[in-house]
Amino acid sequence: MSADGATTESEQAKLLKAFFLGVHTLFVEHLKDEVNVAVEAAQEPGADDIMGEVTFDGGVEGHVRIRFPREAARAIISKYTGLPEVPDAIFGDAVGELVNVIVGRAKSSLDGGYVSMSTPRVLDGELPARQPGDERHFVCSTGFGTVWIDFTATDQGQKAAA
Amino acid sequence: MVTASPLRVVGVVVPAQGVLNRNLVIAVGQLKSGFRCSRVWRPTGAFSRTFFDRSRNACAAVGGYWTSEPGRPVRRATRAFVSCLRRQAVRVSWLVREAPESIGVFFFTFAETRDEVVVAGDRCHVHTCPENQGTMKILTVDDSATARLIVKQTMEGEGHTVLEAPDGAVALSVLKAQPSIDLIVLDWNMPVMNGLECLKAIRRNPEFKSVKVVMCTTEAEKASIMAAIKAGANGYVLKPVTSESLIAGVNKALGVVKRQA
Repeated sequence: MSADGATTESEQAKLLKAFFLGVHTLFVEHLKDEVNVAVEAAQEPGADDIMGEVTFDGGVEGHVRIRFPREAARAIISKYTGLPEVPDAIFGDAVGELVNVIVGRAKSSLDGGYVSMSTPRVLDGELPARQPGDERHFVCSTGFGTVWIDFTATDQGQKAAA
Repeated sequence: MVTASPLRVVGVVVPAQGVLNRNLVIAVGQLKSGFRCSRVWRPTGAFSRTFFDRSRNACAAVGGYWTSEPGRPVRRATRAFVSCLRRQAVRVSWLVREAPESIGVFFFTFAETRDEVVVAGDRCHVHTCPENQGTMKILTVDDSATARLIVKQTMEGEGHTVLEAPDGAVALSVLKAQPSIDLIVLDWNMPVMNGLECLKAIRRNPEFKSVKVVMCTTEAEKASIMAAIKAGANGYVLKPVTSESLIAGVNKALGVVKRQA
């Protein structure tokens, strides 16, 4: 955070970069897949998507959602757990664990930092509440299908001043 | 005076369930060809299961109960070794013989588990007593059923029994109800009671002194790792885990180190 309490572009970029790194680590290092992270595009969540949402608190308020088309999520979880068929009983939980891993990697790259993050909440079959227009969507092309990073961050100091 | 090449510690035997606090360092040295032993080694048949070969757990150097300085006389070193074995409540059946390759061979039996061990050169074979197989009882503690499933699959694949708990509070209840648990694979971020609180509670209770705890978490910050070690964690494995990384982390916590190639 800058001296006057404002969230600078570079701080947002730092957060974003941390999540890109988290996604990259999961796919490349663990799932041994290729991933092309971070092409920005405008695609709202679809009804068939399943996503894990993490909210930020502290110096910056906001959220990130890692969003998977259902079939891509099944393929990823199958590789992640080593199970040929993913039981419905653990499907949502497994998405939460994937997002947990991504967030964990992101947090470690921030090395503590000024932002605290919630544990992932899985949204399955429910669309998130509409966000202000500043939510950004990033495409991650993977061998399992397209995965999305939905991201928004607002400085709390600025919000309070307003 | 008969001397040996530097004796090397080559492995740690992790005895069966219930005696994990009695890990034993096995040491062996190459004996000079002129060495003679007054006893004759009597082979007792084929060793069908080789603990170290199977899981590659032998090692070149570990801290432990016994070491020897380079160049130490073999007889003296052997006596020290045997003395050490006896202190660890191990019945030593045979001590050493001159092998064709001039390699010392130790053969002994764990008094408590009746696992038989042969150490020859840089190889160590353990013939596990059948009733001791499928040995450790492990508790996996994670609010994610998926994470628990991965630990369960991996450790059951290694022949262990795995229990589950979704948070630290339940883990403590399970631990009190099942004092024979040998090792806990513990997540950090969980509802009700997190992993660090759970670890501290375990370490406060002398009953659980011998229980090994491996943190298995996404918390990769140096400060978190240090906090866990300070609180008494025996190992730390970062998520996402693979079978290999989990087994390596568990072995490390148990004091079993992979043999150098």
